[in-house]
Amino acid sequence: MHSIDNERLITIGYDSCAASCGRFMVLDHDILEKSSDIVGLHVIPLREAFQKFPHVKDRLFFNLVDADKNEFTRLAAGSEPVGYYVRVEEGVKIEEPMQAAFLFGGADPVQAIHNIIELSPGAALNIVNGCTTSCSDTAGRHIGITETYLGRGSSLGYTMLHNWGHTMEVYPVGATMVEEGATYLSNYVAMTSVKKIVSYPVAHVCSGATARFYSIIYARENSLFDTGAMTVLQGEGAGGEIVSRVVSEGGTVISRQMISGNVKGSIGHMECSGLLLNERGVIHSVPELRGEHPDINLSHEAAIGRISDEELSYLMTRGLSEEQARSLIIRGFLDIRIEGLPEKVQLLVDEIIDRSITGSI
Amino acid sequence: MDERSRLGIGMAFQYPPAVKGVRLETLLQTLTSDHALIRNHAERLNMTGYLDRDINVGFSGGERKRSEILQLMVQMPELMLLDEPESGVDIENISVIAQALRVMLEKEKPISKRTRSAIMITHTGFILDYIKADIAFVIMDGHVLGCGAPGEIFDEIKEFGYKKCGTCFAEKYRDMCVENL
Repeated sequence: MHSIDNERLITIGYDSCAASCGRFMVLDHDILEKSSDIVGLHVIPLREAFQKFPHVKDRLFFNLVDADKNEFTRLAAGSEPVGYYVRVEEGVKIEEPMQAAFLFGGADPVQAIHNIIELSPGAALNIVNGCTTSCSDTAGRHIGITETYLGRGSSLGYTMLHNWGHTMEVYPVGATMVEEGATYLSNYVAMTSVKKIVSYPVAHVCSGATARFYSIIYARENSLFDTGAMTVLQGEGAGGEIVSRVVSEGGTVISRQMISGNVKGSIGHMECSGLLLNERGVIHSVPELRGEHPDINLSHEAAIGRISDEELSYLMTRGLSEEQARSLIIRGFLDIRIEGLPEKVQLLVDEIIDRSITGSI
Repeated sequence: MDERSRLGIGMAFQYPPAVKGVRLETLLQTLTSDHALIRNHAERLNMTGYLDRDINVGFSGGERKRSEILQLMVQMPELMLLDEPESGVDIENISVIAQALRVMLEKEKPISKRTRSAIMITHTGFILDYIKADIAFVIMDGHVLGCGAPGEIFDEIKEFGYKKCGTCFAEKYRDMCVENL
């Protein structure tokens, strides 16, 4: 293996000693690790998948994401695809999460990754995807395209942990098809500096299926996040939820959320809560609801504010210093209990948030 | 604020704020690493079911008061400032709160052996049925009008009302009050 700072890997939850059902690691455009420990789970490079499973190239590759969508997708489409194809066979339910790490070492100025996930009907999987740089001041661009296909009644928990550097620009492009009765749970956690992240994943949700997006963002000085999610409820009884918790310590966050209910029985809810820690930060919440049928129920709530002096004073009467009290409130603000997330992944998310806040406040 | 705490002063608020996102147990764990102690005190105050909830979020008036006393029990300050600990609390739970205060104030020990004190504000005096105070002060419009034996003072207030404090207490208790102050 190339020399990789283990500390950087730990910050994105990649632990080579921890139990997992499969692994995949990329440094720049080199695949360093690929393995699957479960029968019915395939974790292979995308190019290999084109040979082994012809439908991947014919029907899944640049299908949900338009290759001509923007300059980044065009750039990715014009280069050799590097990334994983993860497939879970019908009815195979896997409890142990799969680990993946995408490292930017700066060998090329642009890293273009393309991942495809395909869960057959009734399958279940959790993926922890971590992205980081080889060191904190590595400069460049990361483009990450993820196309996800969830078959009937399947379930995917997809947790993305970002730890970029203050000179990195990042452009993830994600799209998911959630077929009848399937469940898609997306978690995004970014607690460290980055120059710019632009991401607006889309989920198309069919009858009786649900898609839930949770994001936790801590925007430091000079960081720009233009992120969010879009959920298209296109089947009867489809459900969608988008929840974001944003803290700005001087960074700018544009939080775009959109739920579109197109057919009878769609239920969608979104909430964006923002906490501004100083006067240099900006949080711009853009919630959008679109209804195209009278029998739908869509709602949103958004709030942006500062830490309450009353709460701060109250905690300090118990003997906490101002820093400790602020840290406790911020930690509590970012604490989202995500229903359906395996305890192991929740603990990992909690640990990453704890470590970031302890180190910054 | 935290300096007062470090000096050994603790406060039970009349209207404590709700702190969304911060679980009661998380706060208590910042005060002590003894988890068994937290559980024991919570059981004493019928608060075990609230440890996992955000501080005071959705708590009734009585639950907030018990939460305040629980926090003080874990904090164990030398001087407690108790702002109407019994207001909004049902009779059964006044007894629970008073019993916890008795423990903190080491009421079972001889007075010379006690190491903690409390200043308690009460408008009804109900809590005095459960915990004996050493001395009572009557304060009106920002002035101490008098002080004395708590039972006697409350009997007089019950009979004559607060207004009379302005006259009779000032005459009757002035000397004793000044001595105690």
